[in-house]
Order: sequence, then structure tokens, then C-alpha cells
Amino acid sequence: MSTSDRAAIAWLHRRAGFGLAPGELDRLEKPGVDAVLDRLVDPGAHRVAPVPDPWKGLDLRYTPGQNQNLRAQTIAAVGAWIDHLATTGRPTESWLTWFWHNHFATAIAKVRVPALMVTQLRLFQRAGAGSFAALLRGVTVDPAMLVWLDGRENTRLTPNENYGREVMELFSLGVGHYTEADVKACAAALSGWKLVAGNPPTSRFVAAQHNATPQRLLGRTVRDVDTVVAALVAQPACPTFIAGAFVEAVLGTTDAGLTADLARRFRSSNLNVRTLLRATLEAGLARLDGPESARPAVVVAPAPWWAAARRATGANIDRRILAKQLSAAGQIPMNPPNVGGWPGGGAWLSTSTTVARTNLAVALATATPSTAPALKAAAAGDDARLADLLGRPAGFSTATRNALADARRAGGRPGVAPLAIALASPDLTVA
Amino acid sequence: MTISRRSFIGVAAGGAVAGAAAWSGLVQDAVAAAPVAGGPEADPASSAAKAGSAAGRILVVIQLGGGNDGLNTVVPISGRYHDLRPTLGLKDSTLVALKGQPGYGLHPSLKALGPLWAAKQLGIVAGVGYPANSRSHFQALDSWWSATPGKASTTGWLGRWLDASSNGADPLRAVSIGGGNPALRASRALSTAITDPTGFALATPPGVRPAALTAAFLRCATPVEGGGLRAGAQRAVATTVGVLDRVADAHLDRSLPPAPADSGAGEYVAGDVTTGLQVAANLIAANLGTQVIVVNAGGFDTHANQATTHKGLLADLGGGLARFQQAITKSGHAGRVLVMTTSEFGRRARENGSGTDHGNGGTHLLVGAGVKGSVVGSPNLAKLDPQGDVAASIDVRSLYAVGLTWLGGPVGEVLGRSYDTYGLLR
Repeated sequence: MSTSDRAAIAWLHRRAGFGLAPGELDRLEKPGVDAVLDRLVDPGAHRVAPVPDPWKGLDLRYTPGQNQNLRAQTIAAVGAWIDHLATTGRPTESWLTWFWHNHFATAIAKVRVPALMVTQLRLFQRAGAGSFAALLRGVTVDPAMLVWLDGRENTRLTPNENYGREVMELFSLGVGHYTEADVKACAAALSGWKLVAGNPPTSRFVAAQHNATPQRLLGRTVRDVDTVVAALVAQPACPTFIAGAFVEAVLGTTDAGLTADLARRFRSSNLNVRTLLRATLEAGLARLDGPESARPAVVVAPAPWWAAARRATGANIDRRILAKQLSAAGQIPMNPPNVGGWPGGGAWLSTSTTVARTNLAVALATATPSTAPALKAAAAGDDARLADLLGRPAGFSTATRNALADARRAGGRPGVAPLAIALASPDLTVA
Repeated sequence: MTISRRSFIGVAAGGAVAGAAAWSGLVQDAVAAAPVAGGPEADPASSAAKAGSAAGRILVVIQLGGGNDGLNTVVPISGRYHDLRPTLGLKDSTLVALKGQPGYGLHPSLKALGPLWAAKQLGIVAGVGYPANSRSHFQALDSWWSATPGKASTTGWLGRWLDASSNGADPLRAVSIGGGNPALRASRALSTAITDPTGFALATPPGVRPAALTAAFLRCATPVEGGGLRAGAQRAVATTVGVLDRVADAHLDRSLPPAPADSGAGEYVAGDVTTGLQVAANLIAANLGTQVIVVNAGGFDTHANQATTHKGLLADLGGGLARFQQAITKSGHAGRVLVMTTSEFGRRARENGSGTDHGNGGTHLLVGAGVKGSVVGSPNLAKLDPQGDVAASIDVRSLYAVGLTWLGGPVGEVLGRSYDTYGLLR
């Protein structure tokens, strides 16, 4: 197997997953790139064992007015999710959950019920690889979303435009593909969805609060959630917008030609997400062998970076320190800054994120046992092996190798300082 | 794991003040209890900040993310206002009076700003916006950040000022608190972002020499290989190491100014603005050459439950501003500093039940010894725009021209041409 096939398999696990555990790359050599892609994109069809629910067994019962509960539950729910990302045997399902979490960005800061965040993430985990129309319908009446974008306040007598606008601007079409009249029509047709108390709370449609007057939305007549979703996904802008989001997340580009090509395939698959993901990854693999300037490059966001670092080292740290440092890095899972999701890209190259990432790298390297292959390679000065274990089989850059040599002379338990530097290096943050 | 002496800006690790992000508040107790060993070294002898060496004027921009409701911030006293706001409307008798401006009153949560108005240190600009507002948060933010509405730009207005007024090599000339801010995007100039002031320090594993680890990390920065993002990541390493060094050497004053004797709302909570301005005050006192500070605050997208939410947000804004003015007065820098608010849009004039949807023209505040203390523009409720929003009658770039003029310009180079500053500065 050539280095480039090994690099391709590592790339797939970086982009459609959360990195590789020690020995995993060796095991994947034999089946080869195509088989790895098949298993990643459709694990069910390839008999990859189902994975347990990340939040199984957590006590997330909601008690009104108990902020202490909220704090502890949030840390527990976020921690359980990250544990899952760092260990799951079906990484692409979880990558899609992460992707949709950023796409339909909903934050605990306003929702304030961790069980509702978990309900929404389970929707992504369950339906995130299938029909986009079904996913959009699910999100539209999802309890956390009804809180987050005020759908529960949107009634016949008091129309609230928040969701009606964002579902078109950020979730399905993009700005410029609807009018202010469409925003009002969309809000009116979606009115009447309320929360029902319970553990966890659920949503239900209350006809008495629904504006039953048929509305004109994007040239169609709509009257409820089903007709609204049908009108949105019928717009040509919809597959283009969603394909663009995949191209940007996976390939780090806004290439209009590529996006249009993927949008066509997405559309002809009746908006099947698995088809779109597969096509996007195939486009990336084709570019891996191309010229440097065409190779896909993204800044890895702090949380996925952290999950991959954990997978590679097998280590972990106290969840409370993790919460503090992810907050400093600017990315607490379940708490995006606003409905647009995390800014991403160059924003992750700020001083604040660099400081927090370095501190997380130091904490994780400190917690890595001396028996871990990555720590052994770091201590032994085997840079090629360390790079391979960290999912970079092509090796480190000259700058990082120089830094590792210096770090080995900085004192402390052998391997800890160079492992920390490797994890925090530009070789791992941009890839 | 220990936190090295390369410490923090302003707030001790595990201290009593919540980090800038809302979620930090949720985890604060747990963080305080978390086993983070060590801590910043105190140096009481240096805590008295040295004034002087005025490296020029300072502009502080407070971004009220989400679209602040200008109509309930500086309230126009009129019957039409109460018609539009049957439940959210603030009773005239509860408003903070503005002497000499009988047509307006401040939200009761902004009581702490009363003395600043009386001292002619508060300016108000109403009906601020830009042409062809789509009511999208993100398009609006792009327009505000770039100051090139309707036209894509890779730079922000403050970034262009940094480029135009220096060689751009000093990342501490501009600091964004509470995360980064695209207004600082520049062609050349570097800037600093601080999300959580309590975490702005490099940790070191046990037994590892901090200076040696930092030096090793810095070697990741050169030689530059590959382009674009990779080079950017390498530059971020160098910038970060440089900034932490200088901040560590600055011996920042960590004392917090006391809360205003009467902050007005009775339930004053230190949120994003107060926390961010506190870091800003400490940065200014440290004389690190910082000239532009952006404080990022969120939560102003009050589609629902606005009465309660907005009350708390404005208490944070008013109380934070009053505290900030006290702090920079105490450190002797008040004469150098102009503060302005920005926000992507105002909110719809007519309430939607318990909140307000996206609107157009907003109302903004200017605070500092350099302002004239006037009200400029009007949220003309008799002549709303076709969507039923306050019209954008004063261009965003006029607000920016005020800030840029304060900084000594060049206004035209940054904004493309000159804009009326409406006599807002003395």
C-alpha cells in the first residue's frame, strides 16, 4: 500500500470522523480506500456494529428552576458526547450529528434544558444521513428548536418571525432566495407548535393557536409544517445551499463549480444526505493527489480536534477543566454562539483559541500514560511514527520537527512536552 | 499541570468574575472547584498602573450582538410609541430623564448612565443603519463589520484603520474581548483575541521548563511551509507567544472597580459587557499600546420574553459602562478613551406579543470625555420604513467616522470617503 493510500484513509477519518486510534490505520490498509469509504458512509449496510447512545444512563431529568442541575447536567451531557466522539466505531454518523449541530445551531444558553439538547442531537444521530426533507421537518418541530428560535411563541395572534426567517436563510436556502413577505408567510404557516411539559418536554401542534389561512410561500400555497418543508426543499437553491455547506466543511472551499456538481447529484438522489456526503468525500480524495494549492485544507475546530487527540492518545482529563478550556477556545459543544453556528475557518487561528488549544494539548499529554504508543514515539524521537499515530502518515513539517526536537530537551516526563507540541502544532490544527 | 506566570489579563484564575461567554457562567462554580494548581503571581508593588506615556487615543467598541432594541434603550416619549408597544412599552414615569432632552428617556436599567449624561459624557445617535438592510443577522453583521454594505470585503473597518495607521506588526494594538471580531480583519495588521480572560495563559506539564516549552512552540512558526490557512496557523503561534510574553511582563492591575453605588436596576448582573469592559480597563491601565478594543456581547436578539431579558442586558450595559468610566478615571486614562456601541440592526417598532422581530435603524451610545453630550437623529415613529421599522436615516459610517476621527483618522482611507459626524465630538 502506498503512502498516499494510507494518507487518503487518514484524511477520510479526519474529515468524516474524529481521527484514528493506535493501530487502526494498520488494520484499514488491507481493505483499502474504497472499502473504508463504503464502511464510513454506510456502516449499517456493511455490518459495522451499532454504537450505544452517547447519553444512555445519564440522569437529565428536568426540574424547573434548578440552575445547579442545569450546570451539572450540561457538563455531563457534553462530556458524554465528547467521550462518544472519541471512541465511536461509526464515526461518520457522529460526524454528521456534529455537522448538523453546527448547521441547525441551537444553544443550551437559551434552551436551558440539557435533555432537550440531547433530544435534538438524537434526531441528528438518527436521521442525519437520510432524507434532508425529513430532517428539516424533524428540526422544525423539535422541542429545543421551538425554544431556541421562539417557535413556541409563534401563534395565530402573535406571529413570531424568528424561525420563519432562519429556516430559509440559514437552514435551507441562503439569504437572497426569499422575500420579507415569504418570512411572514412561513411564520404564519408554522404557527401553533407548543411545548408539552414532561421529562423530557415534547412538542405538539395546537390547532387553536395555528393561523389556518393559506399562505403564499415561494410561489406555493402552504398551510402547515409539511407544506412549508415541501416548498423549501423544492427550491433549486436548497440543494445548492446544503451542498455548499458540505463542500465548505469537508473541503474548505466555496468552489461554485464543484458545489453545483454536488448539488445536482444531491438533488437527483431526492436530497439523500449519504449521497451528498459520499460525493463530497470522493471529490476530496480526487484532490488529495492534485497540486498543493488544490488540496482540501480546513482549520480543525477545537472540539473535533480534541476528540481526535483523545482517540490518538487514549487519554482523558477532568471534564471541568475541559469545559473551561473549550470555553476559552471558543467552542463548547451544545453552545454555539448564535444560530449561524461557530464562525470557523480563520477564526480558529486567533490568539485565544491558540492559547486554549495549547493548554488542552498540555493537559492531554500530561495525562497520557507512558505505555501509549504516541507517548513512546514522542519520547523516542520517532517523528515519523508519532505523525502516523496522530493521523498524519505523510509526516510533520520541518518547522514542527524542529519544535519537537527542542521540546524533547524541555524537561519533564519523557515524551510529554513533544507530544503536547505535536498536538498543538499547525500540522494538526490545519489539515 | 500548573499555570505558568505568563498570566491572564485582569482576572485571577478561578476568580469571582464569570468568563465572557454565557456558558462560562454555567460552569463557573465547577471551574472554581476544579483542581487547577498554581495561579498567577501577585505583584502588589506594581499594581498602581502608571498613567502617562499616552500612546494616543483609544476607541472601545461594544458589539451588542443580536440586534439591540433601540426604541426601548433610548425611549422616545410619544403616544405613538405606546401604541406600537402595548405590553413592552416602558411607562414614561419610569424612564431615566435626560435633562435638556424632554423628548427622550433612558430605559430604567440604564440608570447608571444618568450621571454621565449630566456630565455631558454621553452622546446618543438614533436611526443608525445602512441602505438595503435584509434583516438577516449575518448579512447585517457583514455590512457593519466591513462598512462596505452590499459589497463583499475581506477586511473590516477597524482592520483597515490598523493597516492605514501603522505597520500592523503589533497584535496588542487591537484587542477583541469575548472572542474575535471580523471588524478587525486586516490586510496586514495583527490583532489579539481573548475569549476567557481567566484562561489567557499557557500551561506547562510538571517538570517541564515553561520558557523552554514556549520557545519550542515558537519554532512551529518557521519556516513557513504551504500557503493560506497553514501559514495563518504558523503566524498565530508566533503572535500568541509574543502577546503572552508582553502581557506577562505588564504587571496588570487586577483590582476591580467597585460596583456603582446605585446601578439602577436593583438586580445588576455582571454579564458580557461588564466583564469585557473590566478587562478593557485593565488593558488600558497597563499601557500596552492598545488603541482599539472590541467587547463582544450577545443575547440582544429578543424575539420573545423581551421585557425580562432586555432589562438584564441593559443593566449589564449601563452598569458596566459606569464602572468602566470609574476605572479609567482612576487610572488617569479617561481623557483618551471614547466608547461606542454597535449592533446589527434595531428591532421592529411594533412588538410581536412578548418580543420584537428584526428591524432596521438602531440607537447607539457614545461615552467619553470627548463627546459633546447631544442627541442626534431621531427614531421617527411617525414615518416608519415600509416594513414598519425605524428608518435608517444616519449611515453606520457616520458613527464610524466619529470613532475614526477620535483616533486621528484617516477617515477617507478607511471608509472610502468622508461622512458627517453630526458634531457628536467636542
